[in-house]
Amino acid sequence: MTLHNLKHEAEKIRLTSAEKSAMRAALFGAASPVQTAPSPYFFFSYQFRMVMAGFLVFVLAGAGTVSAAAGGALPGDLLYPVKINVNESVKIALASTPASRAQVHAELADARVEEAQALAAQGRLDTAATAKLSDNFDEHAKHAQDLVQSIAESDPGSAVEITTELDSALAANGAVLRSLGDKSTDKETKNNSGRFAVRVLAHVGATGRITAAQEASMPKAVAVQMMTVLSSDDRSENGNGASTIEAKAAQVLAGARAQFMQASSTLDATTTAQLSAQFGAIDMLMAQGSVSLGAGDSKAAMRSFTEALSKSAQLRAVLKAQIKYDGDILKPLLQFDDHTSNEGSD
Amino acid sequence: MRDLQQDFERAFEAYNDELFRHAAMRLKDRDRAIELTQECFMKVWEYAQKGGEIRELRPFLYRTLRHLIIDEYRRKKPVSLEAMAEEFEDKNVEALLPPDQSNTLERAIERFDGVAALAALQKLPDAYREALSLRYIEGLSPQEIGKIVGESENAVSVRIHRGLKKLKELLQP
Repeated sequence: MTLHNLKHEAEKIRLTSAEKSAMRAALFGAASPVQTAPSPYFFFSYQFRMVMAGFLVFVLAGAGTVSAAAGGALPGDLLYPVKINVNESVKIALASTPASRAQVHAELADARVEEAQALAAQGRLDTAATAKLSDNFDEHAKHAQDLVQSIAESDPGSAVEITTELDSALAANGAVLRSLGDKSTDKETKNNSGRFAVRVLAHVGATGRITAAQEASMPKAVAVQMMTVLSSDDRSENGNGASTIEAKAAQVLAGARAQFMQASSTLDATTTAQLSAQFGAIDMLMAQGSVSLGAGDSKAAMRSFTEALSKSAQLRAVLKAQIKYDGDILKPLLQFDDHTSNEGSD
Repeated sequence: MRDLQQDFERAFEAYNDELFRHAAMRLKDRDRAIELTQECFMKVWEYAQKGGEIRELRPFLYRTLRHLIIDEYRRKKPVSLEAMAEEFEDKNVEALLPPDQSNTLERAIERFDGVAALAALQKLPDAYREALSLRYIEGLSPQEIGKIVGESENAVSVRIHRGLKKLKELLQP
């Protein structure tokens, strides 16, 4: 017996393929079976993976629990160095292609901003922790950017996808950090949150708001990246790129919806209605993208899917923060009034 | 050993989504749900490698995850743990309730939108959330749920019935 309405909705709560791959790697010490592209450094990476596999056996044998527990550690915690030096190094080492490495660095850059949020929420984002976090953020963000640039020509779809997801998440998480800092009663936390948030938002050229206006909803860096790809004349390549982004946008959108569901008990009726409207707008973009793709206009399709991905990634990040911190985080970040719709656009 | 790993990899592919979903429904924190799902597989894999006996893998995985979730509650939310304990202490009262109207309640809840039903489910106390998720989302029988939570089939049926009633009240105040 199942309740079909409940089951159907709950089945949208899934692990993403990246999360499954990371889990497989942690469990079995091997790369995901879906990564079939051979590495140009096969010999090196094979040997290196054998070393890593040996290391992972050690992790499984004794330190597995420590390693797993370190996942939620924050700067200043005993396990934080394990998280940075062990868990994350393993993640990077196991990423075999430039695109997957870019993705890992992007996730780690975003993780630093989320850690700053957690410290800000507890009123203990001190200057030393901020310096460490922003240095590590810069390092990962730069690696991600360099790797994205290196694949921009050969794999434009992945390049736009990674940049869009990262920069949109950073735009939202930077804004959340600022908002948490503003609420803090600790003066040092307030200053440091503001300073780090400015750095993050500047990195993506974002205003720190999620607006209903189409252009304004996209961080400037995403728009620039997208225009670079769209300026290419190779239609077939853009068609592939559009399909890649469509799949990614659908996945991130599903994640955002799951967060929306989880956050629902903390939201008032107005915010719920506003968010539902935002999800409706994203559904519309996805539909538009499919129509354009069907009509052979891959550039228009790419534009719609990228925008859908950008909005979904921002909503997902803000909703995630709403669930974690259970405050009125959403309200200052959501801008629905027409007179604000031009802010943030180029 | 290779066979064991292959079996375990198949089990991972078959059950990772449902275990993660179950953890996410209980914890309301996606990141922690991912970490606990991974730790669950890791612990069971370690146990299997050491030659531990696992008769039925799926309930074994759920039981392991359940322990991790309870540890998480204990670590983070002492208040919720008390609430959980109260729920369990209440089972003598539950056992007195007739479990016969479940079909009617199921039909009533089926009429609601899935998003609303899921949101309402997440507002229920954890013991009901656990029983209803396993029953109506993962499709396990009360007997199978009993094996996971370490209680009799009858106690599980009564909890499901009572959870359905509470769910309906939330959906149709």
